[in-house]
Amino acid sequence: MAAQLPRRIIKETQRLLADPVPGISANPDESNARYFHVMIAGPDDSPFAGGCFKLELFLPEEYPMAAPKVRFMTKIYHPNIDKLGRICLDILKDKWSPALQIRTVLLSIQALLSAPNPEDPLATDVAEQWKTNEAEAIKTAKQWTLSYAQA
Amino acid sequence: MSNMTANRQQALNAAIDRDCPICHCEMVLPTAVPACQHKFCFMCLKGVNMNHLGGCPICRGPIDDNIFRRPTQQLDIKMPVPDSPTPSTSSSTDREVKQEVDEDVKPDVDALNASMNNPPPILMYWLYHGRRQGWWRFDPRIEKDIEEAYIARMPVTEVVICGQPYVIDFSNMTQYPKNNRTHSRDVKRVDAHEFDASNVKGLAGVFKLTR
Repeated sequence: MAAQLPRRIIKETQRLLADPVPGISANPDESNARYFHVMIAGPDDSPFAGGCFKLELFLPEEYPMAAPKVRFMTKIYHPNIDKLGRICLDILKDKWSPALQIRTVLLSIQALLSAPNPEDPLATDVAEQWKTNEAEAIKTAKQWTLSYAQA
Repeated sequence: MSNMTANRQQALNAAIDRDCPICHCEMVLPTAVPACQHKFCFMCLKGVNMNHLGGCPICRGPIDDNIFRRPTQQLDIKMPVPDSPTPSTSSSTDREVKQEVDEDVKPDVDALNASMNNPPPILMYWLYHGRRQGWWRFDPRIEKDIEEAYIARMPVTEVVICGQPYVIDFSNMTQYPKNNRTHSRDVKRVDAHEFDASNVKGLAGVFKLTR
């Protein structure tokens, strides 16, 4: 009954494997080609440097007319990522465009690690800390990176 | 920049001009957004509109709805699948044969005998019945997926049209949205002769221009 995998997904997967983005790996699951195991290295200029963050990415049936579903599996202290790993990022919601792709989504998430945005929070307690005491927030983020995000 | 890289870049640029930014394949019925002129497959752009994805996928500029109202194009209604990646039952076989002739290759007797015993499959088309009346041809790329599933003797297959999943039911020769069985319409598989007799109105929602 399963539908054929759209050519776009096949092409994107081939390119992700052949020509990966620096600091990012994305590998399709053996049993489900729409489910990707993702690793993002914490950017050097961020409190997440040295960390290796695991994510899951799923391409819904409507993809690319609907955005991929992406979630952090690794615990992370970030104002735009909540306890369940859900990510507050406009392109994953109302600003999705089918001209975006897995590659550009993961690049945007990598950029979000470099530039936390406490003005548009998902984890309100973390955002509050980030706004009132940024130094302390960054310290906690580094500690969490050391505790939870080691490969 | 080395030659290799330059060539690769050129190839990439050529592919960028030819490929749809949505399906990443060579465009079928290329259609430009009137305001910004960014080009997509007609069906891909219609999917953007139907799914309310907020304007042009490249620049988020406005998309004039009128281009979907009663679209017409000068089109080859029997067009083959562009950049077909795998040799399949249909047109690609014809193309290979032609190439051999062009290059003046000696006839391969074994291959000729084989093809006499196994004649190349006849080109088949898939049509769906319009909401009001008449027959329409599927987008050739979707048609190819349907034909492959049919040849593989699958009882049903799924295709995504304009971002919506549909089921093709081969035992009843119907098509319906995956989430709504009651909105069923007829489909049929025809050869070129029957295609001509079916008075096909257009391709994937685009009317063929008539004189």
